[in-house]
Amino acid sequence: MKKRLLAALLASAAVLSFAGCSSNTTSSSTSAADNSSTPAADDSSAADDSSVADTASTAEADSSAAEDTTELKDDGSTLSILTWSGNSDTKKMVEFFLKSKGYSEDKVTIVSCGENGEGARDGYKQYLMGDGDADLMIYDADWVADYIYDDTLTAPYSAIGLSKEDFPDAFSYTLSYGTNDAGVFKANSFQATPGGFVYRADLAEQYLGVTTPDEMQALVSDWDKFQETGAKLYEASNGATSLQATEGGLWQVFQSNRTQPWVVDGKLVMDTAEDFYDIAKSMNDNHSLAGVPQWDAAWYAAVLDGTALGDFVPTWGLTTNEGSILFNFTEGKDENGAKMAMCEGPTGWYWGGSYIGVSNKCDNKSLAKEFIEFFCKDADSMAAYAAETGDFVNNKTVMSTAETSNRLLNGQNHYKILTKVLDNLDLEGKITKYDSIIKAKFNDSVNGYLDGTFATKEDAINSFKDNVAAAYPELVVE
Amino acid sequence: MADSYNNSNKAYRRSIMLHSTIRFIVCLLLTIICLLPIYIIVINSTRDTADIIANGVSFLPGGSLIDNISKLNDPTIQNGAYTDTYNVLIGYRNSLIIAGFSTVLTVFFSGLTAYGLTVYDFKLKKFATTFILAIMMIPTQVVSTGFLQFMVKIKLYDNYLPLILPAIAAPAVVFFMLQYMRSSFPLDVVEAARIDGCGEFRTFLQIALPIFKPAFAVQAIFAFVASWNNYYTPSMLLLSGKLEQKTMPMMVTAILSNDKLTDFGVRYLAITLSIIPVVVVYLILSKYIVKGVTLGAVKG
Amino acid sequence: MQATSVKRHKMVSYAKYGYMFIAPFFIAYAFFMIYPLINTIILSFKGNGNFADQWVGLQNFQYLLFGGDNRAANAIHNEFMNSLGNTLILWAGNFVVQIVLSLLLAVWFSDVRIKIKGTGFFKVVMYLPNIITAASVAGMFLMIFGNSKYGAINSLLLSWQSILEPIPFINDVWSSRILVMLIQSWMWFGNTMLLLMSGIFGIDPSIYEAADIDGSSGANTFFRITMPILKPIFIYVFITSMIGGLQMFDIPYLLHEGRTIRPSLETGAVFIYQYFHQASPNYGYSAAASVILFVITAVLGVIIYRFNTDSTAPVKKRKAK
Repeated sequence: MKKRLLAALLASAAVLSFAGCSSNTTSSSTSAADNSSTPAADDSSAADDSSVADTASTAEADSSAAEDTTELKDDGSTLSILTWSGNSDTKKMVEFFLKSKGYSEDKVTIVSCGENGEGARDGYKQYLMGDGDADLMIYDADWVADYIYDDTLTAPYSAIGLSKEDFPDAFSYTLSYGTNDAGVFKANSFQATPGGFVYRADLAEQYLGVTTPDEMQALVSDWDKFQETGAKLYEASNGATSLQATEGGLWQVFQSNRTQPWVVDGKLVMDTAEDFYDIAKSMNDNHSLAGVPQWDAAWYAAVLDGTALGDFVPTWGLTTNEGSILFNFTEGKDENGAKMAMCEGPTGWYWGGSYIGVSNKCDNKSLAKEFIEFFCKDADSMAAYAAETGDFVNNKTVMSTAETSNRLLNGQNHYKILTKVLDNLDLEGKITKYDSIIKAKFNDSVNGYLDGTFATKEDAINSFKDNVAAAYPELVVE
Repeated sequence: MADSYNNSNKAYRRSIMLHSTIRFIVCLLLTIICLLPIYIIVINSTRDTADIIANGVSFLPGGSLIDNISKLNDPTIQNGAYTDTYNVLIGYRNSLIIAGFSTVLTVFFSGLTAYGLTVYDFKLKKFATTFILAIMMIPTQVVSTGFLQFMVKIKLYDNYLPLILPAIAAPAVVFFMLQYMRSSFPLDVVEAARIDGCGEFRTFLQIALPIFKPAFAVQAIFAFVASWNNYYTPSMLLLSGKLEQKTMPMMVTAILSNDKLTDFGVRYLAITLSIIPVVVVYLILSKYIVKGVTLGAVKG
Repeated sequence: MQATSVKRHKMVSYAKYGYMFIAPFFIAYAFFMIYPLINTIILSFKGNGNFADQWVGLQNFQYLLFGGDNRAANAIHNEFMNSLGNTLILWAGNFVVQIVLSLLLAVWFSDVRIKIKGTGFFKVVMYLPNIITAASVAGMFLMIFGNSKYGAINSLLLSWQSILEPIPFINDVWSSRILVMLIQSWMWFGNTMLLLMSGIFGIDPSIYEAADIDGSSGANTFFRITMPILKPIFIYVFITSMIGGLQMFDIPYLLHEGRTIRPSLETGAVFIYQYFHQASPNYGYSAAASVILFVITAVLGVIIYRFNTDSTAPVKKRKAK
């Protein structure tokens, strides 16, 4: 009996496999048209002996030439946007775009490569090796540089008829982010991602005696005060509540203090980073840090049960959508949301964000342009999108007048606070293509210092420098 | 005389009883350790997020199974975040195709190769054996990228063939079969078959294969489980990432690594569903192992 | 006598069947794997990052094994040596537990004198941990052994007031290693046991019955009958679990909270993977490290194999009448 069941399973598997294969061939033949427009695509990210060289050298040498010479087609059937399956923004944007423009559904196709931002980083390169259609790509802020520095994968905005001057209202840091070091503008964001300190207002009142976000802000307006308040809170709550939930959130804010980029003339520059070891350590030692990991059930539980007073949360974590950070802090319940509040925190900062770039394979340049203008340039559609989704769109004029009432922040208009935070943020000339890895290594070493992997600050810094040197043979690390 | 014999017999029986009981208890403990985590996963798929976060591990099922199932299949949650990444039927179908064919190919061709190396004498035999032993030791982490590049060059991405055909060459399984045949394959059976005028290939199919059943069953289970759980290669080779083509682990990972799908009950349900078919296939094949069907192949 | 008769038959030339039987394996292997293999070896002689197109000769090997005169070289050297050390520690810890447990169980289950109730059930159940994907296993153990007070064990201990502060099971060097060893043993002992049992089942039970009647003791039966016949399978288990151990990847790679892989758990395979897949890949280090790992594995494997196979000519099973 069991044997027969197995045989049946295998037989049905055989039938299904033919079905699978045939549907596969039809899908690949529809996209076969793009075949010709993908010269040497299979060399892109490769470990192949020559390809890595090509990529590196063309990125350096030909970038200025690329701006003038890139010719994109305009005869594609559908606008294909690469994204990752966990990026619900893209889906919402496409729906909103189609609805507002009155376009039919087949006008835009979403292609998901990988599950999360980190997966898409490699996923796009793999996808682009094949002959699938690709017009626009959504990048996570962490790895915009991977793509805008690589001319074998991406085209500049000028290739679809856009330049920086088309986005006068954009927050300036987003424009610096989308420009590579040859000065070619290749990506812009539809959102700006400042953040604030989200905290449990009920506990703040109970232990610190503050009743408004402004009063709370006064207690955390710089790093010294932030630490003092942390110590005070821990004492007042009898050890029940720490000020800050995660080291990671603290670091996201602190790194915006830099006065110089991480890499200057091929050399690693520590700048203000060394101070962070001391701040994190002293906060850890006086229990101002709850020490839970980010992106973990414990993180949410810590704010929910008052182990931590709060954490730093950027725009995309402040939506009321299921799964956002704020949603998890409050379980999405109004009665929990009524206990929350937000203030600016010690410095201007941002965290992450998504950018839109143009693929080298783009064969729909006018629709691509239309899509980018719709979300990054046109104030009316951007305002409408902000109103619809609660996102913080990349437009100063729109955001300075936008009104909102966040049900999970006790009805606060968090836009007001966030525009203030952005005013304190200047990233001009501070962004390099090395940032995402350097930041990750830095964060590793700080965490190692906190959990005792490294006995001293010097050990931790040394390990950080070692890791950067090992990751980037071309950098000078002293 | 008789009395002392009886006594020692009694003592002997008592010691056997004692040993048997001790062994039983040890086995029982190990069984609990083995089943506990699986049990926790299954139980958690019947609980809701708040319960899991607040109470941690629980041994009693919660009441949210139906709720979790309907969430997993609800296209309205977060714009279809669940239904766009997870479809249990498609996942079963795809994983069954890949794991089923890979298993058959692995077991059959490994058996064939090992048989060839055991029964026959030829010049390159020693070299071939050493070669197979050597390639078994190549770390898999690095070869995979070259493999992907090559498959892209010959346009075999988005296709199940490169996930199935390499199963023909499974060095570790060949090595196992070789060792197995060394320990328990009677060469004289081949002799006898030849004298009876039985062709070489037929000898392999009709005489050798039945003798290898336990080895085949064991390796079939391992191959099936390995292929079913393989996340890395399919996710690398199925470039366009269409739901239609995704395997079960790709779907589970898609949910687990999605920062926004934080409903723990649903996450555990996704894991539970991915385990079920493997358990079923395993239970089917385990019959061969438990009963040790080889015995008699030579006798009969 | 028998051996010579076999030889005579082979002289009739059955050699071509040998080639035919092993051909599919070699064709499939050559087609799918030759390119990746050659590619890896070439990469191991090339540079890293921006210098990926330059030939650097043995520099990658030199850096990995001996370090050099700059920070990058020494950093790579230290990290690689640390990863080899971790590999050895994690493998040894898991291998001993695993092999002892599975050998003991395999022998118990095949013991004709001392029968255990529910043997069939036990045999089936003990393999089950192996069928859960590593990602789920790691996720589950992270939930149970979480560092913070939300980890199941920590919350239990805290509520009993046996501890005042949560124990960082995952972050502590040795508790994380022990955890990995235990998880690996838990996942694989059933697998090893099944392999050993499939070997034992190849042994004709009449041999045991005969031994039993002759009054052979349990230990005697094990060392005189079971072990010699089991030897080839045992060698297989030893070599494959050595390979598996030296290439241990999943659990050490996944067992961490937050985004950092624990330095105490970075194995050789994790090292290779990291440098191959980081955002700016350093293929040279990665490929050289895999060549080194391969050489280590191969040398150990061949030693064990050679050492053990001399005496293991195909065992002829005694026919029971």
